[in-house]
Amino acid sequence: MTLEELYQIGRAHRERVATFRAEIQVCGSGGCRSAGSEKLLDAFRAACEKKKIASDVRIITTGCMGLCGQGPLVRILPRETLYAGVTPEKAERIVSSHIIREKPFRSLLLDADHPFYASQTPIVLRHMGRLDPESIEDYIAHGGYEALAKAVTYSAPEHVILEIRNSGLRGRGGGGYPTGLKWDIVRRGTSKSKYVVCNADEGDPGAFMDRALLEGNPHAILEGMAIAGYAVGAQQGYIYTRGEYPLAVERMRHAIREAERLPVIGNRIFESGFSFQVDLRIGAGAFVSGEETALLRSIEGKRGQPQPRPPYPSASGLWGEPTLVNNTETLANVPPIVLNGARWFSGMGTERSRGTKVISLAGNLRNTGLIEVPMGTSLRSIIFDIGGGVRENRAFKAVQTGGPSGGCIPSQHLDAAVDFESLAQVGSMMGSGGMIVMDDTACMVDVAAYFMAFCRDESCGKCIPCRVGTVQLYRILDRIRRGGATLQDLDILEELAVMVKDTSLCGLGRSAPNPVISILHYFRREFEDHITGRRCPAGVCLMDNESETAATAPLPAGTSPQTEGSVHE
Amino acid sequence: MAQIEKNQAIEAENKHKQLDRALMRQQGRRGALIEVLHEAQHIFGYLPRDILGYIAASLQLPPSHVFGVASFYPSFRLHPPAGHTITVCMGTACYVNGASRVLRAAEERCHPRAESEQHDRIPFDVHAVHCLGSCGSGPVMQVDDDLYLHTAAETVESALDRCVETLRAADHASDGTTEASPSEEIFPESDTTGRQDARNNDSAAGETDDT
Repeated sequence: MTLEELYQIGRAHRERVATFRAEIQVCGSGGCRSAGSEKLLDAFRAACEKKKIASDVRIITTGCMGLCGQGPLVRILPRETLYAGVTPEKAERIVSSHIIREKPFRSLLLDADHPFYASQTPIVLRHMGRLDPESIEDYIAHGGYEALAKAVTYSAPEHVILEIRNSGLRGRGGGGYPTGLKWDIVRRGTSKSKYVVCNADEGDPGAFMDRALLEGNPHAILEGMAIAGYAVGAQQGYIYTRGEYPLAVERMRHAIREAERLPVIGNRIFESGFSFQVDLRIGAGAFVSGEETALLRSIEGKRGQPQPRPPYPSASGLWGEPTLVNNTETLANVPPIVLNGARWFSGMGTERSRGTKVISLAGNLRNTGLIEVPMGTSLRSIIFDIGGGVRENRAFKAVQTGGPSGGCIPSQHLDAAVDFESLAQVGSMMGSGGMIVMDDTACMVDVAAYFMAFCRDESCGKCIPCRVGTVQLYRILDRIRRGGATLQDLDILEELAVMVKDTSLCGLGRSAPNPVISILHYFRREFEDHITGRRCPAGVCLMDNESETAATAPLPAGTSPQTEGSVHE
Repeated sequence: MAQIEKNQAIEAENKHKQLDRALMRQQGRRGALIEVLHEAQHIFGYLPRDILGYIAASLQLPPSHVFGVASFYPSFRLHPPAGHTITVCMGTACYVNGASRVLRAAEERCHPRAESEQHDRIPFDVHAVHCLGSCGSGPVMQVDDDLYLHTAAETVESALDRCVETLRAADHASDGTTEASPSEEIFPESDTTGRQDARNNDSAAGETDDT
């Protein structure tokens, strides 16, 4: 395979696609699929059959089209139009209206300048929902693998790293570590066998950007990994993702097979001296395995427990060798940077956070789904312009960012910019990009207890501050929730939160108290209402009649029963 | 009776052969244990003790290591699953949209506390998990492999009744050879008969003795 042959494949595929009279793209990502998009595919096929245009219409399943809350979504070309909430019954009418009579089918039409799409800047998501994730030719026709071919043919690894450094790309998994710098460290490791690991173990509840990427554009991740492998001098890559994402696993498996078949990964890629293999590893439900040292142990086939750093994986990772661990979204940013240059990328975003961020928008919002905005976009613009504001005209209360490691941001900070520094300044963090909006029906004490229960369940038990601290923090929060706490408990809560934060071994424990600290900071009134007034202002918490019962009360439903059940045998 | 025993023996042997094939595929690959455990659970429906021992011997690992790994990860089951499973997503987005009410309703429906309603109980395991990754469409509930979006406490009961009807019909219709819907399979290359059998037997037992 040479660059010219790659272009040839792309050209041939584009020409073939151009012969069709129309193209129907049905969103096949997890959300739309469960909303019935598979039946939709059959319905569209049948409709085209009936209208005798079956051979003239290309019907494909695509990745996420973004507006998950209104799925299933369907896009039809030419005269690009997006339809929302499509049912199989409507398929025929859409076909006869849009394709045959060339008039959009009005009742399900999504406005061309719908505010959800209007203020986005898709880079990582540029091909999402537009190509068939199970067709490598489709990806190549959209410019896929060109960056890899050019990098291994024309650039020295050092130049690729320099480009990534100059672009200002920072780790999208939450840490925000400069990607180019990390690549450089691994590059300078003297060992012969090095590894590239894609961390797609997306455990934060409320985050689904990795899932969408794996399902919707798996080749972009493979290409990013191969470029990273070339730059740092690794021959083996691993993608580590969750067993809870069966469709993502299936699509990624398929993508690896196709890429090996062509071959664009494997031995002597694009007739250079560079060889690179990729293996898929599937997690087994442990949140802590998303922590990089734990993830590497899990790939080695061991218990996914974190280890003290240093040594960092870039010095001593998988089987003790230098290992580059990058987040899925970070790797998906690599091919466009290599193709378009560092200057193009660094022209977007803010001074210290360049580029864009993919955000999964969920909670009590009108428009929920997957979006991508330039770094520095304000929370207000994301929530009210793109998200369409709070559902049912209720009042906005808080937005939770950063998952169980992040915090809750109240309305007075809605003008904060979404970038690594600004979100940290208001007591939260970027995290992997999950954003959950809460309206005034949410009780913040309950939310704090919810996150603490999560961290308590997911603590691996290796270090004491996390193992014991999260249980104690949860007990206090639960006591407050049930109206059985004193104001002194609030002081203990704060003191303990800081202690767990300062003394835990890994990121899970060190960030577990963050939601509590931020909620306590902004919503202290609600805690006091529960304690002194014995009432829940939002009407969520049920107060115990006798405060003494709280301490011995059973754990509430919703704590992971598997975790507890499986440890004792 | 003898025929049934014979069939069971053949089936057990088939499962072992499948496991051997999986072990063969992983041979020589570093860190293959978790992959093997995934495949074993897929074949047997859970991870029986003797199978863990067998895997340890085959991969030349200490049994303590294999058991340690199997018991560390929540997705690995060390006991046979009880019939069908309802999984309620308790991710943040689902939670703020009322997932705990959905969970309570599901538990009430499947394991009613009142004596008088016991005859009406459904042989389902109810689990809560932290995130199913369909946050834009919460609250989300999963019945076996099927995902239900935008659920609400009020509609859970009727939704459950509907899927119980379908599942019971499917269980009765199949005589142990029907395959599960492959749409959500993690391991498409191996067959799913084993797991489906276990389910059928369990749910049938649940229906008859209703304990």
